[in-house]
Amino acid sequence: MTTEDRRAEIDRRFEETFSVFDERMRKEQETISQERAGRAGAGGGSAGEGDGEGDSKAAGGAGPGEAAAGENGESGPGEDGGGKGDGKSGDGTGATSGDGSAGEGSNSGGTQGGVGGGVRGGSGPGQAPAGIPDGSDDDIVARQLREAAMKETDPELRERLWDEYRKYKQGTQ
Amino acid sequence: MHRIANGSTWRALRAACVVLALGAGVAGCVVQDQRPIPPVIAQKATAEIPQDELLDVGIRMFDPNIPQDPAEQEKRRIYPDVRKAEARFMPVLLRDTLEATGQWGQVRVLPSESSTSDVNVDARILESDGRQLQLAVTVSDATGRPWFRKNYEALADERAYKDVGVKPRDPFDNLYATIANDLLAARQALTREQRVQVHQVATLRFASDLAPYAFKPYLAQDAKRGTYAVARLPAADDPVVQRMDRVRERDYSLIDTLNEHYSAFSETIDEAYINWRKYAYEELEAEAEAKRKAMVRGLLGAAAVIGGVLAAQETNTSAGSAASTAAVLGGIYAIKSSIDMRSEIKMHGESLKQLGSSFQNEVQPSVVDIEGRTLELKGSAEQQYAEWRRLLRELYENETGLPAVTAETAKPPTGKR
Repeated sequence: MTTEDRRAEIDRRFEETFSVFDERMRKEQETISQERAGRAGAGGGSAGEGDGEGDSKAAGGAGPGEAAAGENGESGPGEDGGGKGDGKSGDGTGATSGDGSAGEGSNSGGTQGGVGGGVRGGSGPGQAPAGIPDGSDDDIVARQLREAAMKETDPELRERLWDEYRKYKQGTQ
Repeated sequence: MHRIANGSTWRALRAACVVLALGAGVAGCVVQDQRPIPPVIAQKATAEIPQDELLDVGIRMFDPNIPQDPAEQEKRRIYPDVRKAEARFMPVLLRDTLEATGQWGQVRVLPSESSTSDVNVDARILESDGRQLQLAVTVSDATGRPWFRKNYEALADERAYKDVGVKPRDPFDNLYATIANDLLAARQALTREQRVQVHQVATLRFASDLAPYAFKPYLAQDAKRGTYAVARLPAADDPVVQRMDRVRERDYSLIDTLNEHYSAFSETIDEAYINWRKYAYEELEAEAEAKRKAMVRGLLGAAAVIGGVLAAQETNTSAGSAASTAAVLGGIYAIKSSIDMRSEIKMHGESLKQLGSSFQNEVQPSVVDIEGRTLELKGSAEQQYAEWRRLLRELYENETGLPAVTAETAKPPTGKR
């Protein structure tokens, strides 16, 4: 086998492993994008903004894959630089515009889910006094106040915690 | 009118004054700074930076700095999973801050034991409770040159807590912007040649890690000082260099994918985290205020009692006696009031504990998830890296006709292999 033949064989194995790796990363990024979009949708966030971020990130991540596919032994430093530059601008824009809405949307959803579970599953020693709502729409702070009040054994402290809970709920409605 | 000018009375008055002064001093220590705080703006690029001077920044996962001792954790109100979450959340904020300036190449959050970037940022969380944030930050570049080591401390910008729906700023945006500006100043202190060499050394160090027999000779390493320099550059058309470039693209791809995980993680915990910090901030403020009041009342009470007792010793009129008795009783009441405030302080302490435990329970699944995913992804990639190491070695031996092991100690190669 000549040097060229061996080099070609090594390159073939390089291509195989690059292909496997790129596919693994592509799937991982796809999964993350779907999860983020799912959370944004569940939370009632802006789907458009969430998608924008995902797409932008995916575009940045796809850079190496695209470069690898076409040029066997041609990916010199110049091309690397261009690829990195493109990825950078895509990432920057996406992250700036999309993070906020996706985050807000997803967390609203997560909070609502958590609240429901916490209240329904709550079995603290105390009981909620009259006039306290059922807590189904509690956010994290309200839920923590409620949990603290339900667990508190000191009547005075408990009443103060319920007062805090009432004030907080009034302030957030 | 009674006379209060003898020596023992003056001593007692001085004691009372000292007590009062101490009280005022202690109270002064907890007086809050003016907030909202003026924003610090991270300086943005106003001109395009030449490609070969554009430095990539790697922000390693922060050191959560969790004490081993559970008692110490409780004393310092450190919740391990909350800290672990913060150690991932904060680098993302710093990354976004740096990216927004346009002063840098790629800015990435790196797993803690990740490979070297052009510029490397390490940070340890010293304090983070929603009210203040303290970070110990160390920055160096790929050549081993230290940029700076600095402790940052910031009080929360209360505006960030007042209207969380709009998400105006992180409460500690100023701290991240300050780090960004310090990084920029440190970079600007380098010459163009130094900046170019930083990027070259980072590339060679990566290559040397994967194929030391081929790339180590290009690096001049001062093991004693821990510094690196370019001995000479490999030929751009070297087949091993070309494959190495493509391997590095995969390394970037892996880190970019991990960064998407980190971004997703930050989004997942973002609202709960800001709410936890907001409420912890309020409780800490209230606790500090209650402590201040208790301290002042206690000290004023003590001063009144001391003054009343001394006045009683000196007076010989019924009116003076009544006044001194009133002073003593008033002082005792103030001391009792101060003691009563302990229940309020305790309540704030309990609230903080509940808040911390509750948020920790909420964030724990996300922390476990991100840790698991990172390990899985890196584990999977490690197999590929092992294969690439083998292939690079084979390629090197094929191109040079030299065994890779012995070549590791050889002199720098000349020209094309």
